[in-house]
Amino acid sequence: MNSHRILFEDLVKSFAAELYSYAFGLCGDRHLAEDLVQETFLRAWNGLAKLRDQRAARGWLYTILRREHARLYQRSRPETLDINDLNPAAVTRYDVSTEAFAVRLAVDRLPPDYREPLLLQVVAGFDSKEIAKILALTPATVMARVSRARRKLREMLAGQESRANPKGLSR
Amino acid sequence: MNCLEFRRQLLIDPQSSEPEFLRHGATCGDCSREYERALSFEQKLHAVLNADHPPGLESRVLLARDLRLNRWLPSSQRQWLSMAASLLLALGLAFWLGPEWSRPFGTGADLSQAVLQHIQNEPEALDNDRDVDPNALAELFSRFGARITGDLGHVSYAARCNIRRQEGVHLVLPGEKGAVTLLFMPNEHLPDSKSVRSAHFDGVIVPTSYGSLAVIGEKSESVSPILARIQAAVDWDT
Repeated sequence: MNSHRILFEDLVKSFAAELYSYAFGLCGDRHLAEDLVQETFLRAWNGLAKLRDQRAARGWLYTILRREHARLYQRSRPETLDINDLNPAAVTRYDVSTEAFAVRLAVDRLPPDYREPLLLQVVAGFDSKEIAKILALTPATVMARVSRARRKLREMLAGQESRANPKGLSR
Repeated sequence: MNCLEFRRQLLIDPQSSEPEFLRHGATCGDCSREYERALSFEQKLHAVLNADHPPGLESRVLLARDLRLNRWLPSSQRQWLSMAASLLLALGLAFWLGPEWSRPFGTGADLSQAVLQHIQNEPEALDNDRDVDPNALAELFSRFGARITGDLGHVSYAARCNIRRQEGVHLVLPGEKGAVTLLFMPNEHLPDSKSVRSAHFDGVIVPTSYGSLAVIGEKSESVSPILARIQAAVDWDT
């Protein structure tokens, strides 16, 4: 029991922060992201005895968190609205004063199938094989999806740039 | 690697450390400019997506585990917990009412026995070198309408616990002889202080404005200084 406690505490200290980033990337809500991280670790605690290879713990935690997020959407699908209708000043969770706002919105607009592997690559630093394992896809599919995700981001950001600067004037 | 392959890889993973990819990015004029743009965008993406986690997140996760707070559990799991709790209650009643088993918590049993039994049932609480986060402690006490107003010193264990079916706070901190257990027991009202002695433990249970406080150390531990310090450091709304 004590060794489980020590292992669990090590996992929390090592991975809570990066899991929070992933959770926030998935749901876009700070409070929900924290709940997802807590729920992930409570489930991990209950299943710790089943974790045979501690080197697999990180991927295992991401898999749990992703499932928790999916469950959350099965239980209650939050209200959605068109991102173009958002009033940037009202969206306090973003840093609206910088380019970060535009990038964040563009990431949120990505279809989940593209956003998830991109988050796992950029936030967690997993390679295609690891992402494929977490998402139950082939590595080739993962590569195709992150590639399309980046292409879409570029298109969206280029579109925003041209809307903000229609005459092509440099800033 | 030709330009087409390079551009394809740039979309898949601009941070790739594959030698051929790096060589092409460094030697091909057009591609190197595109490479720089992609890396710059990747930095922005990384900065945006790596959200700062809220302070105390780790402590709250550990506390949630310790407290086994079911408010974070999904409703399906809460239902299971409710069923399990009902079953335990039924077993508890059988235990309470059974003629052979009535001694531990029956009329002859007192609070000091329940306290000692609680400590003996949770040996891992004594064998713990953690440093409980002060914010987590404050949150724990706030659930009971109490505030930490002074210095508790080093606390190695903190959890919500049940003694005689009453919820309380279980802390462990270091004493002269070893770990000292503190049990804050709201709703356990004693007329007078009571010494607690066993083969392994010495301590005291004192009446307080909110209920009782047990301070139990290893054999021969002098618990009075700890008792005074803790009573001065925790303020209960009564």
